[in-house]
Amino acid sequence: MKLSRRHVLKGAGGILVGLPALEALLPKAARAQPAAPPKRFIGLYHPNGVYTFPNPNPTNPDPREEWHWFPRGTETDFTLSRIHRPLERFKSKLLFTSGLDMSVAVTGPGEQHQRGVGAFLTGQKLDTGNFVGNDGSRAGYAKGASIDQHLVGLIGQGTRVGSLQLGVHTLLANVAGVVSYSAANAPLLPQNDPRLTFRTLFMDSGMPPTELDKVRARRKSVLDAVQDQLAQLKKIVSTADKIRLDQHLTLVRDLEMRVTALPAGTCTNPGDPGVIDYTAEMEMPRVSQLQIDLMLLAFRCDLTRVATLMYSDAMNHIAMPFICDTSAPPKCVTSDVHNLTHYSDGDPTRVQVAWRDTWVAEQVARILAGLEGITEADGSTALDHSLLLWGSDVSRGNVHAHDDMPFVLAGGGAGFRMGRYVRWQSQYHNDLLVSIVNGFGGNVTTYGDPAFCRGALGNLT
Amino acid sequence: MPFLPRLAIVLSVALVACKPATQPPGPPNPPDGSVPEACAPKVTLGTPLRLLARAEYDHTVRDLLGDTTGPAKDFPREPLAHFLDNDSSLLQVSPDHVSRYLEAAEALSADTVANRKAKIVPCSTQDLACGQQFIRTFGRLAYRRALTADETEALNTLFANALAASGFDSAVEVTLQVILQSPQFLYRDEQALAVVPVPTVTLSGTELATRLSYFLWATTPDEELLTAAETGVLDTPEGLKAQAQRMLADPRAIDGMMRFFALWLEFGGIQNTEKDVNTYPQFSRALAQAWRTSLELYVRDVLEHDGTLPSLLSSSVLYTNDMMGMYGPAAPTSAFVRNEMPGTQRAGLLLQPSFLAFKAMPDGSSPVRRGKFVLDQLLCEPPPPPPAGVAITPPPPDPNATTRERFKNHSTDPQCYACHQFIDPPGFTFEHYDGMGLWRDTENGKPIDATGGVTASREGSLVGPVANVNELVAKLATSPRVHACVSKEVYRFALGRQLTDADSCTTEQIADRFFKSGGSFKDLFLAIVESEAFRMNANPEMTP
Repeated sequence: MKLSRRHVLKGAGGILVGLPALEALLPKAARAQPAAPPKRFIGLYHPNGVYTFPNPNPTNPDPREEWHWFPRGTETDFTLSRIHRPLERFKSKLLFTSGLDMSVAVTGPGEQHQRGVGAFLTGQKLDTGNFVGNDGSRAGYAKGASIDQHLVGLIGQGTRVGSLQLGVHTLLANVAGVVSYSAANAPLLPQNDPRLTFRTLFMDSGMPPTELDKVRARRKSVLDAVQDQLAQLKKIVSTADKIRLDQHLTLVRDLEMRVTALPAGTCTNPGDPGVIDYTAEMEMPRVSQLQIDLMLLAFRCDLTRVATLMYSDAMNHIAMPFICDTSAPPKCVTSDVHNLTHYSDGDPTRVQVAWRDTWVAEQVARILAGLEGITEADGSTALDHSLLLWGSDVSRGNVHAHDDMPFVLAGGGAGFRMGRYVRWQSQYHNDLLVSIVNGFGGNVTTYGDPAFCRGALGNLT
Repeated sequence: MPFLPRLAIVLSVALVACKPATQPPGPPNPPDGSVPEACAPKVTLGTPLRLLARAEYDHTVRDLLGDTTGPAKDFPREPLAHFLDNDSSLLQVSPDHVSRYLEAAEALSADTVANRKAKIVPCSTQDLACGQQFIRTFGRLAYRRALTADETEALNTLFANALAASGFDSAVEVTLQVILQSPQFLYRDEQALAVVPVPTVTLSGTELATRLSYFLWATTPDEELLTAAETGVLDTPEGLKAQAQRMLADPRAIDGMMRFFALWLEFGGIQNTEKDVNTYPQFSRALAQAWRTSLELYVRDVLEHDGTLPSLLSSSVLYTNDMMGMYGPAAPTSAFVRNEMPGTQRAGLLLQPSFLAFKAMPDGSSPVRRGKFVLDQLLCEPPPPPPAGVAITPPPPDPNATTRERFKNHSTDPQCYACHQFIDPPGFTFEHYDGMGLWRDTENGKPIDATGGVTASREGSLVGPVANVNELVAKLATSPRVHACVSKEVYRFALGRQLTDADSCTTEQIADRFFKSGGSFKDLFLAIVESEAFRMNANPEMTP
């Protein structure tokens, strides 16, 4: 998000209105003209694929069949997997997919989890590097920007926080623990501590105006002086580090803008969530709830329009003991879920992966319900103008496959026809990214690695 | 000649079954008397500006400002490059970083001015002259070199304006906020910009002092080191060695070494270990915290006493508190007590409860994780990745079998066997220890078989069956290869960058010195400081 850049907001009637930077920084002013409700994007990731029960036997039905991730039925008349039952009431707003292959992740540096999590939102391969995968192979970061960051440029300009990267127990600070990239090799690692998410969104809100003016004036002089020191250092470093310092400078300028120029937020301050042991597995439900609630509040207050949310990293070893199948005599997840995803299809223990998937579906339902609860000026809800993309790094963890990825879309933000289960045949997932970008007003023919693009997907709009 | 093609065929079959990945450059060969006397000073990969890691930031503000709150705990985590957090190419700022830097600078400045102003302001006249003196003296400590005229002038102007507007203390506070957010403070400069196009540059005195201090003490240079740098003392090998020896004799040297071990042994991961409480009802988060502290105290104990790699791998010390009575003598309180353990059940790092519980599954032991540690982190011979597309299915739980029996398919399925023939046998030697690191004679009613050993290594004498884990540890503790492997990781930690083939001559020499010193870590750290590579950087203007 460059401040100096003149950018455009789509005004009423589809007229492109050029706004000077300062005006664009004031979303309220911009929206004072009759304008469409803001569009929003959420990328949601959970690790290590999903539960599938691929070959049901009609003569000998197995109770585990109903946990199979993919719906059963036709494009418009289908039954949800038991995994997706928490989402049943949103069925008309959902789009289930199959036949989308994340082929870009099949080869290249790194192992399959690393390549998959890197490609999910970037459509890129990984760079070479020194991050060790579970199998000993090595990789660097993804080689391009993720769509959420691309979408900041299309739908997120002028908000106090360009985008949020949130994590729930996503503690691995490397390629396996990040889906958002501002550019090649420029990862935006998720924030796992709701206390700091709160601080990012609501810093200074609630401060008395006179006090706030003083604090802001002082921060401005400090950050101006920091930029001056930065400029001095630039004189005595190498060419490569001048670029590094320029990136630092951009961040300091953005920070200065955020803490001095932009409104502090007009929402009621929800209160600091306090210290939470966000590294404890048992706290994951509470952390998830807080992160989601803060994200929804940020949307409601228009503090940001783009977010990604990760439910742990691709190489985690968390057991998630709080997840239980309550239908039968309650049975809880007993081992590390990553490990469980590795069990063979027929193994009875593997169904615990489906319980984990169901828990994630419950989190998605919470987000969708929250979006539905935000009413726009025209009477529509934020869910009508948002798109959530839910995916993973692999499809079937036991073979680390990247074909037939478990992508689910939700909400009307990209103008797709929802309430369907679309079965493509071996289409590239990069083309889904193309469709999403274009659904938000972009005009691209490729996204990520062009070798894995054939053009926007059909049968979406 | 007829022999060679046949060997090639055998190799290619092995490679198909056990897919070779892009491996890092292999570790140096074990010292065999052919170690080069002198290395051509080759450094082909340089360090850019090095962002302070969180631990370095905390230590630095502790020493500069007297702060003990550890403000960097809220900063974004560092990406780890094969366990290490200081790979300079990976450390880059993000929006979160600059936000946290701002918050930390505001909190630190307010607290320091309110409570410890005399630590940073060398005068009491409360005027502009005093402010300028503060900028000159404190600025030099914070930037780890004298400020340039332009830097000084900018800060002086800021100070003068703030002084006029809101008084002396406020001016100090604001100036301190700027210094703490400036890249001169946040990054370590090892550029030594060369005007001529030479491939390598020699670090300037203050750059070298900074590299030395963060390596040996994990913090910013002290006054004596900074003065030595400014007066040219570090420009000679003797002067550098003398300063390094002074610093290694100081208790703070343990901090620098502990910083390496905290990363290499994943103290943070140990603290976050979780167990299935149905399998292990004794487990709690507080116990995981105790594991970490216990191991930290163990390593510190080794460094403060014998200080060698063999001692690290074989010391009989075990620290316990009241939560750890299941492992040894119960301590009366949550304070840790040092125990000398009789027998061999707790002999060495690899038999510490913390290590064994960490290298295990939530509901059981893990021959794979334990075996992998031996191969990857002690032998520097990581097992190759599994073939693409192979179903990696761990053996399901079986209440009537031992873990070892459950892993039998690894030796019957050829796809698994290709790699697990190397991983499992060293891992099996740990089978007397369950997922909590507790000793067991039987598992599911069956006796434990803890035979095993290293099945392949470039150091032939490591290979061969062992009757138990103590025999394996004895071999590892005296192995030149293990010394070479560990020393190479410390060298990578010192330089904060990936290694290339150009480093192998240096790492061979260092490994040789380390081994001949009896595995003394202080000798190792000194050997690294004395290497030419430590004084050099690839010319940043010529690094792609």
